[in-house]
Amino acid sequence: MHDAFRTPRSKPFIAELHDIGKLVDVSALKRSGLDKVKGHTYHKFDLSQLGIEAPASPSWLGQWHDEFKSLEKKSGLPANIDDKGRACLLLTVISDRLASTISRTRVAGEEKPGFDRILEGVNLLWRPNYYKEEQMKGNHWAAFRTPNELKEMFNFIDDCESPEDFFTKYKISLSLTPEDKSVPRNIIPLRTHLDLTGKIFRVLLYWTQINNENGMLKLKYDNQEITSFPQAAGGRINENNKGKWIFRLIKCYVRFPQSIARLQDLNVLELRGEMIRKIVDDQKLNGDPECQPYAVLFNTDDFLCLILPRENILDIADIVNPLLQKGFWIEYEELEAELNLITSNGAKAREQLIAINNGDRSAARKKRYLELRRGYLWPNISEIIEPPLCDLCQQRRGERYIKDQITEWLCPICYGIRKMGEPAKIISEWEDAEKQVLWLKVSLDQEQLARYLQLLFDKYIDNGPGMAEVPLEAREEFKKNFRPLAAQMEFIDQYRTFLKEFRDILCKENEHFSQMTIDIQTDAITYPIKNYNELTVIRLDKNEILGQILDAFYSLLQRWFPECLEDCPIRLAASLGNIKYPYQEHWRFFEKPQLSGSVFRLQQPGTHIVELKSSQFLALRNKLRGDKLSHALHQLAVVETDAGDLTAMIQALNQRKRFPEIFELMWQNKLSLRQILDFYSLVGTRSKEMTAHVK
Amino acid sequence: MSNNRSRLPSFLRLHLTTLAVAIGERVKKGTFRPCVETIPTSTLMGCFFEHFGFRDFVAIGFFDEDSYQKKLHTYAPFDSAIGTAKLPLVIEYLAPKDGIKEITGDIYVAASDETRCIFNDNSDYLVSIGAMRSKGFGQLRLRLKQEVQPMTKIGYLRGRLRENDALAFGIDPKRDIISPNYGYLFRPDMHRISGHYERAILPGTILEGPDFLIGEEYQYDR
Repeated sequence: MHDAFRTPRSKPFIAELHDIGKLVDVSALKRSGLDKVKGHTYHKFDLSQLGIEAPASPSWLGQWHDEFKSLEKKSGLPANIDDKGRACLLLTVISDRLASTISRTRVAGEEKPGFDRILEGVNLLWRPNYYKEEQMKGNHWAAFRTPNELKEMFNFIDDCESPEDFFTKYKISLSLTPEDKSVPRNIIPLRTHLDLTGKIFRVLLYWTQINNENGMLKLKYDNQEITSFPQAAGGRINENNKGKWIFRLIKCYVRFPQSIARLQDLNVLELRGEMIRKIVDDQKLNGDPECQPYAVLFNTDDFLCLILPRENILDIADIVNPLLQKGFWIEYEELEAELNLITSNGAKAREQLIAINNGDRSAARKKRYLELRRGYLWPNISEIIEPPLCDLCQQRRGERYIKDQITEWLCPICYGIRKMGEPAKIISEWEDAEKQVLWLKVSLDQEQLARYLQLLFDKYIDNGPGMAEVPLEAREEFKKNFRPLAAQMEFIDQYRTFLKEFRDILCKENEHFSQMTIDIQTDAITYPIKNYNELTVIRLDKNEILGQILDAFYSLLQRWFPECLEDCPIRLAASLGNIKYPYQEHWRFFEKPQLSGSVFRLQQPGTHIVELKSSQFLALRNKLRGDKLSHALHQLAVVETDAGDLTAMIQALNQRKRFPEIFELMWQNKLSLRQILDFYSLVGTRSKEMTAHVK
Repeated sequence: MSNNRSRLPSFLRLHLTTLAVAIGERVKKGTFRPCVETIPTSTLMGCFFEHFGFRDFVAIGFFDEDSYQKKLHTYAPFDSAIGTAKLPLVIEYLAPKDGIKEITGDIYVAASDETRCIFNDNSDYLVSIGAMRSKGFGQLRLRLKQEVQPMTKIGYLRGRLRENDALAFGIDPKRDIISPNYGYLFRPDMHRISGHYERAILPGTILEGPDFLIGEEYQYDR
């Protein structure tokens, strides 16, 4: 990093503010008499109309981003702009373009009708009605609709100290305003776009040197000097101009080797969360809002997506070292590419590049730089271990520990995890109740998510408002140029809120969800790991609780991700057992891969197991109703046990006039009799008078 | 992505058949004992030492994927000291797929004068591996198919082998392992009463090696 960048300045340059003008409702301002406003940048706006002066903060320079393409540009810039200001401006332009999804794509025939359709509010791919729902609550996309509010915007640019200030103050507007208001580019909330822009900007800034030789300003990274966006980032994937700056996008799946032998071993989940939070916190070098050596673009409790420079500059192992030191290992996918080729779906980009070059991989490599690698990162583990091996991780030598007259061999790391505390201690207090216990695990499949976002986008392109008028070739172009990175960030953000809401419903912590009746006593539910909302243990005091929980989950899924109900990347696994049943077996069930497309996976170990798509779940809940049907299903289950599948099937077919529901479930919803009976045994039927929140 | 590389040794390919086999995966606690779906080098080394008396056999085995299915066997070990059965264990094992008579597969043994001397004709060799052998599991019938000279291929390892055994497969760990998926396998000492754990590469490891070791091809960059 160039020394000039380290010079303390009174105010930081906040790249996120470059698009604050997108929160201005120009029409409303015009209606209130301020008629000389246009566009979303305000460097040409006559501030004297408001009786104020231009902000003095360096962040004000961000307003020039739309017309600043090269460091060589001299005219039209503020007189006092220095080298650092120019550098920040160009890096903002680069980051802004990378962060945008398809909005910088120019497709053939754009001048024709259908391309200029502007819609109000963001259109989330997985929740198209999101903006309308927020409008019903009285929220609006614009933050600045009157001259006074506009004045406030300029003051804010001057006063803002950090991106967090910006995101907190304008949270609602930033989440309702799309980064680009035109269809089909209106799919990413401005907040997500700016978050991504800011993170990329700070990593670029950290690793860039400013060179000014005889008045010729250049930016240098990894010995490559550039003066403009195309030089740094290169062209789109179907173009030939090669970018000079290579960065890496790394997706890390955090794995642990431990088997869960005692409840305390679940602390490994808490430790994993702590270490991931440490990596996220460490990216902000000394809290400097201008610089960071790497950026965690988004993360979950077992996943990190990072952007960082090339390996010769910064080793990924150094970044994830907190995890490695605690015995975790990482499965990663590394995309090393010219900046403009970086996307969260590296495999697709690579395939596209090879296809453009008629399947010739080496020709593709000569034209553009894009490498995709997969592999593992391991902590230091010995080549030889003298017995005994640690019982839990089997990766280090174990030492003898005796508890409750049971000898165990544990390595220092696994012993440390045991000593972190007693999670789910409350479960031992339930032992007298002789009730069933339900273990619930929610999970998000990242790979499925990246694939699914592309499908959702394709669907939006084919059926979105105004898209019918767009030529077919242009639609295909849009589909090809979709980059799911920002959409993935937003989805994960919403997934976190979704988990929190599910927790609120189960724990009755929010009055807003009081209509979702679940008969769980407050002392009959525990989230064993602090800050980890994916794992829950519930004492089932009543038989209908499982059904109520599944209904609540489905209902929430339907509200947050209505377009993702089929092939949903979010899944719920539920394992039901006697309180004494070994929890290792519940955990083993959660670790098994779920069938593609199934959202619910339920089991009672050794007796019932069923995997269901959301449509199958809905059909089962809606059709399995009433006592008579319950009696018939009970009889079928007995027949199946005593006389086998075929006999039970024949009996079900014989009763199809009396109980058409079973017949319909089998033929319309493609459920086997085994699945229906297993679901019935686990969840039961719904009484006819039960008020349903599943629709 | 495969090419012939002279440095790769040749191997004796043995055809195997069995009715049921349970090669256990080491797991702490719980009543479930999972099994692995390939035959690790450590298992075969012990087995061949026991049956043929050679210490330095290096071999690895694979079952034909379309010949087996996983099944569960519930078993309660008897504790003779207290005269009662222990908590029942559920043991996972491989059994022939429905409609198939036997599980089939291949074992690759590094070719040497000794191994050629042992597997020198069309005779059947009976050996036993894995858990529950006293209950009839793990009886393998082996027969020499041919001596093969493998091609090299880059992809995901489908077996389990100790790093120290890799050289016998023509794999130089430093040069040929692109990204390891580690675990540990046991190596008994001279007297077979003790031993140590050696670092091993497990399925998922990305490497360049003999084609029979590689499952899915690695499509990406090194």
